[in-house]
Amino acid sequence: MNTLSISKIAWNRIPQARLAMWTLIAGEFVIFGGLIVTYLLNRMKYPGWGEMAMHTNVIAGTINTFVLLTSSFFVVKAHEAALKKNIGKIKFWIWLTILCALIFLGIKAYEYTHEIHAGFTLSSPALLAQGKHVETLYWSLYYTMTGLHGLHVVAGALALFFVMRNISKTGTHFHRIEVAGLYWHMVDIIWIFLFPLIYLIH
Amino acid sequence: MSTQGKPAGLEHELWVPAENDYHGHPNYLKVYLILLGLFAISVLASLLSNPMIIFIVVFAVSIVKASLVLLNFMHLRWEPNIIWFMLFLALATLGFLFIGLYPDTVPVERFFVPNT
Repeated sequence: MNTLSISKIAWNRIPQARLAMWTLIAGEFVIFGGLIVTYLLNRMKYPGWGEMAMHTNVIAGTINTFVLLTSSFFVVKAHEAALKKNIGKIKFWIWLTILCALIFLGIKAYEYTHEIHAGFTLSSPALLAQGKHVETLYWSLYYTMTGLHGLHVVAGALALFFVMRNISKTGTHFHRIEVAGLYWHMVDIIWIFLFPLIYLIH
Repeated sequence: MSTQGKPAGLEHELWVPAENDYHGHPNYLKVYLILLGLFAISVLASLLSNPMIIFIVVFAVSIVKASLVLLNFMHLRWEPNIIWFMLFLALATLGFLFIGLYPDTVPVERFFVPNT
């Protein structure tokens, strides 16, 4: 068996929608991984970043991590229901997942509000006035990473909602629950790395 | 691969009917409970006094957690090698990025010791 035939078998074993989602996920890993590498390198270079990390709300981050891990469990339960074509259960688990997404975003909004009131913004003029240019960079990257992740939470929740609505209307395309679920798990994995970097390592 | 079962016009596409697709299903509750346990370990580890130990423990736990989600919730263990290869390429890219940029983060003297 030559390389070409092995490759063809590999590609053909996977449904096209899932293959497309895995391709997207690999790209997303590079995008977020690039931000995480940037964070790690700067954290090693500037000790002042550790001091800035102490201003993040560890309790809020801990609750949000629990919420996202739980939502991942809800999504796989929805996938199980999809395999049995049980629309009622699919709706139940997906609504719970969307509730988790709303809780996550609500807590993140609460955190942002407190941080902005404390003078920590994308450009942090208060820190700049004190000559803390390097510390300003910390908050720029913090808002970039968590903001981009928040947008992915919104996108994942919307995708799950529309897939659920389509399935409950038509009674077809059950496999889309798994595809949208893959995206949701990717959002969870990114947070698994963001949480310790931002909240736990000072 | 047979084109049987493909919609008209999609015969040339790399497409598999969802009904013919197979992957296993682990005990999701068990995986979820392990994830919660690991999550608790990382939070407790952050209370240690040595920052380097905190970093190593917490980051190692994150890698294990991410692997559990990938392998079990995302069913990566049942996916063909090409998916593993795609993810490996993504991680390798990040590895090159880290190695390429690392010299910028440490003092130059550590790399180039002047002759005396």
